[in-house]
Amino acid sequence: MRAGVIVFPGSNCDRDVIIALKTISNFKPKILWHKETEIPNLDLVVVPGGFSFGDYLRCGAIAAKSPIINSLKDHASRGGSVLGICNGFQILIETKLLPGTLITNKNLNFVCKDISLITQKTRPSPFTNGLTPGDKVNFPIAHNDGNYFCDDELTKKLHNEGQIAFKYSPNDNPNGSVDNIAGVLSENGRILGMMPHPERAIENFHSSQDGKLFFNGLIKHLLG
Amino acid sequence: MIKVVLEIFPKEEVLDPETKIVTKSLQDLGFDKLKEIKLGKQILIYLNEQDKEKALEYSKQMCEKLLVNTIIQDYKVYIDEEK
Amino acid sequence: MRVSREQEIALEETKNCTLEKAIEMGLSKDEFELICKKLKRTPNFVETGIFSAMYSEHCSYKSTKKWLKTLPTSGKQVIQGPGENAGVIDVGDDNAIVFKIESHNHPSFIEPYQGAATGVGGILRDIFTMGARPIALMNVLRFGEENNFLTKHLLNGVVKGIGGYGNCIGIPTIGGETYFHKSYNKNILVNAMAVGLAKKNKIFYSAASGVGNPVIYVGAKTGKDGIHGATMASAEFSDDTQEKKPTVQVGDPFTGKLLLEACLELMETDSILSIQDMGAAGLTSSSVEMASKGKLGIHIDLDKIPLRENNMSGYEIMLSESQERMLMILKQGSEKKAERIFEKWDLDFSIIGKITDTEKITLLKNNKVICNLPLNLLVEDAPEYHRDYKLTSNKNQLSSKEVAIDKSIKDILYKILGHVNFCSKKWIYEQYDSSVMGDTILTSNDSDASVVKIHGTEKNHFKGKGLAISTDCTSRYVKNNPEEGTSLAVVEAARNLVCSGATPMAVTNNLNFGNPEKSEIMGQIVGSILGIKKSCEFFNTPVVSGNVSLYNETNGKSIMPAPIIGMVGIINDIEKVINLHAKSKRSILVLGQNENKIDGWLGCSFYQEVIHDKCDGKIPSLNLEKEKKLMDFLLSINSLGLIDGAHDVSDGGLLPCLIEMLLKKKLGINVILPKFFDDLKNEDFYKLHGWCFGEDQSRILISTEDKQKVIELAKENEIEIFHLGQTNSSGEILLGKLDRFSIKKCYHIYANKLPKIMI
Repeated sequence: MRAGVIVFPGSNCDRDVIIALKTISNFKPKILWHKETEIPNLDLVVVPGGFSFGDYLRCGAIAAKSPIINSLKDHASRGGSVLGICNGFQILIETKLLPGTLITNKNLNFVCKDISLITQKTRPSPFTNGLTPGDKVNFPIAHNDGNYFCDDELTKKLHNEGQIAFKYSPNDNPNGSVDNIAGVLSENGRILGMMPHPERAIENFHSSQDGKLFFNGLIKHLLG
Repeated sequence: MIKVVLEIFPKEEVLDPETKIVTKSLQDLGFDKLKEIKLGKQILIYLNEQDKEKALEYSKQMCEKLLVNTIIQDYKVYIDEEK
Repeated sequence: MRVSREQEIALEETKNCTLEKAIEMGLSKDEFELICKKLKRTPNFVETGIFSAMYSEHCSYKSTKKWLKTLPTSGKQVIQGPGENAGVIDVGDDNAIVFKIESHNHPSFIEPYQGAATGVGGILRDIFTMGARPIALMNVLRFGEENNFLTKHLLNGVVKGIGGYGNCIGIPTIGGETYFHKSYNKNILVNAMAVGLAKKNKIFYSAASGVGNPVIYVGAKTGKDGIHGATMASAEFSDDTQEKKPTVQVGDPFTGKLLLEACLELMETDSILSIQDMGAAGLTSSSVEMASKGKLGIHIDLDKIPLRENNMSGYEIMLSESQERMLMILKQGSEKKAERIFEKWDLDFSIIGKITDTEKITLLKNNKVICNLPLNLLVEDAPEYHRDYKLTSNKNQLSSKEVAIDKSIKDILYKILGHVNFCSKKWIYEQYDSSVMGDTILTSNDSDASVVKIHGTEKNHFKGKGLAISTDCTSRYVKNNPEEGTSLAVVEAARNLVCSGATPMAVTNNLNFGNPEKSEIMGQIVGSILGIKKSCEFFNTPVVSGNVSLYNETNGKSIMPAPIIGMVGIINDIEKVINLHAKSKRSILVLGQNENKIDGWLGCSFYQEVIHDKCDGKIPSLNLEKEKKLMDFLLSINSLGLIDGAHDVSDGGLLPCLIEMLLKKKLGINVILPKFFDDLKNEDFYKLHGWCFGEDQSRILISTEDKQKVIELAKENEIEIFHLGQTNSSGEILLGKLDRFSIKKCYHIYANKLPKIMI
């Protein structure tokens, strides 16, 4: 499997996701520096979590103007898979590769805790390949601006088109996201943005190992 | 009613990382005439008050008490005449 | 002809300093006169500023040096003891652990967000300066009373600041403690501890070497941050008459992250000879210390320093405490390589001077020497005071009868669980990213110590080694008996590590006290150091780094003394790590007490603090031999796989600590009381209070599936043991036939206290 992880100044989950991918797939992902202008032929590009450019101005806004973004868009239009986690999700939103927006958590506090997600029935997507709709998966969250916001029309569209990958439990929505949305797919299902961190739910000593399930399904699909 | 505009900016001598990073990012995007941008905050205050002087003084009190962190921020208040 | 402002400044700066100005800068009359005598001339303004910084308590440890020297600092495990940016210990597999704790008390009171954020940034730089990648952050916080109007504002700002820096730079904050007391109303404490991982043979030090080698400045630009406004009074230099307050230091975790990555990248190459971060007293202390440690001299051209604003005087440049800056000595010829790395990370890089053989510091500004001082005068000859001290200890032993009040156990328990110093700190810790880096095993909410995996120690089927960290200090004990109380703080830190399955290794400390010029306060300091010495020698846990924060007083009233102990330990197999949550259908046993114990130590206890709002009396006594035996026993039964939960009995005593073990899974238990309580007479109620809430030391609660085996082994090893009962899923807690309550109610009280305050 050929995977790459983009590193922006301020990315801080790049190492974690590289380790997770390597542990599960045995392939070491390529590190892609944000100033590179070409992404080689890859199956998967991960935009990792962190505080790219310090989260100044708006989370993800400055990273979305980095040189590498044009080639990321090319990769996406070629049908390549893209996974944005946390700040990566915010960047994909700012690049318009994913719809909607992410605003500050409802209680205005950064929140870090383990959270239960409900897998949704989606359009065909490599990212929900290993998961059964309705099943619960547990991943940690750690963010300040993870409150997914979109208008009713878009919410309806996301539902109808099967573009919602994960929802928080209705009684445990940690940030105020519309309709408890935690992860969103692109129209072709090949781009996923999500606030929770599956790469932090791999090892036996992690509070959950559901990240294995997630990445296993993804890798299996990509290796096809 | 009087509408008072409050503008808050980081003090000149205090480091403002956001200004620094955003300025540099715009310059990197080719805006080479840009010397510096300043990011601040605007707050609109609507007062049940007729006297402009009193309105300004009253607003300043709110600034000093809560709205402005005077240790790292400067501010100015003025009356929005259009209202 | 009009002279430029720059010329004007230069002219003023090189004028002889007056005694009056020197005192304004913080030197004493004696110190200034001695300087003039030894220098055989009067220093100018810049030079006096440098003296005042180097002679400050923070840089010179002038009140405590004499006593700190007596601490045990060496051992088989020690690679670097005190005197460097941080301490370093050997943890096997060619790995070294680098750690230190440091205070940022005063700045956090002035501007809580920035004060706390720059405190975290500063301690992180101390760690990666040594060549280590930071892997964990801890913090110890002290605030005023919960109903003081400032407390909420300060707590909110400090928590946001710690999170703001730690979360952004991507180092997990995995534990610590928060304590409220009125003595901190106007003098909060913010102590941050950082731990890093390095390769044993790739540690970087600060001593300069090699005459002629380039001195490099990297990182953020220099501004007027943190310069004391009282010095170089504005009237002489400034056109505006506005009073100049010290400019608050602002943390920029984003630049901090870039600096971290750039430094570690450069360290991979073979270019750096020595490196030091610019912390307190900025360029002054970093340059002086590097040159002095290397027994060399240093020459700096201040016009080469990257500045954030024009018109900064030499004094301001030398004393600025702008964040995210480093000073390095490079091997000649590697400047280009280094510059490329810093360019990649968008950081300033400037060759600002060179190493000389003069044993002097010389500073150039506008091609004019504005400072020329012998280094020995700044460092070796810095004052060392033998302050008067009065050792005190409260010998008045209070019986439980004197402390207990005639209320039900349930009432007291609820008061303790809902007390701000006991309740859940979830409101705080959920604002810290504790899982970034993917190596966090347990935070201090799930175990008595916080545990991270030592990255890269896993191999085939072996899951790896763990590093456990604990921070401790029970200030009410220290106040009543500085020596024994601080000795106990070390013991509790060690016991906490053991309760997570770790073997204690080494210590860092942060001594927060009032004014050392008062003999009682100096007595607290001396007593504390003696206490640390006693326990650390006994447990072979040398002190490898530390920090002193004095003059924590308001209106002549000192804070509750807070000699904070940060201790690290090693878990040889992370699969043997212990958390504090009991499982259902397990036996709960208490180690260190037996059925004959029918009372307890309530003097100076948390019970006394909660019920009577005071803390006095003789503190619980401690037998180090007994403690050591208990810890060894716990580790041995853990290695046999016999325990699946452990929690030390500390604040609040046996019952509240038992409840803490049951909270997460909302378990119930029928507590078996000693026979004595079967027919308890009304007038003996205080004995039950003593049993439930007493703070006798050297006790640990454990949860096990194999009660018989544990009891058998305990008897064999002469460890006192008492079976408290079996956990169940009913959620009902029965205290024999004497009282009953539900775990849900306990949880409700415990969980909701802090959110209620912070609304």
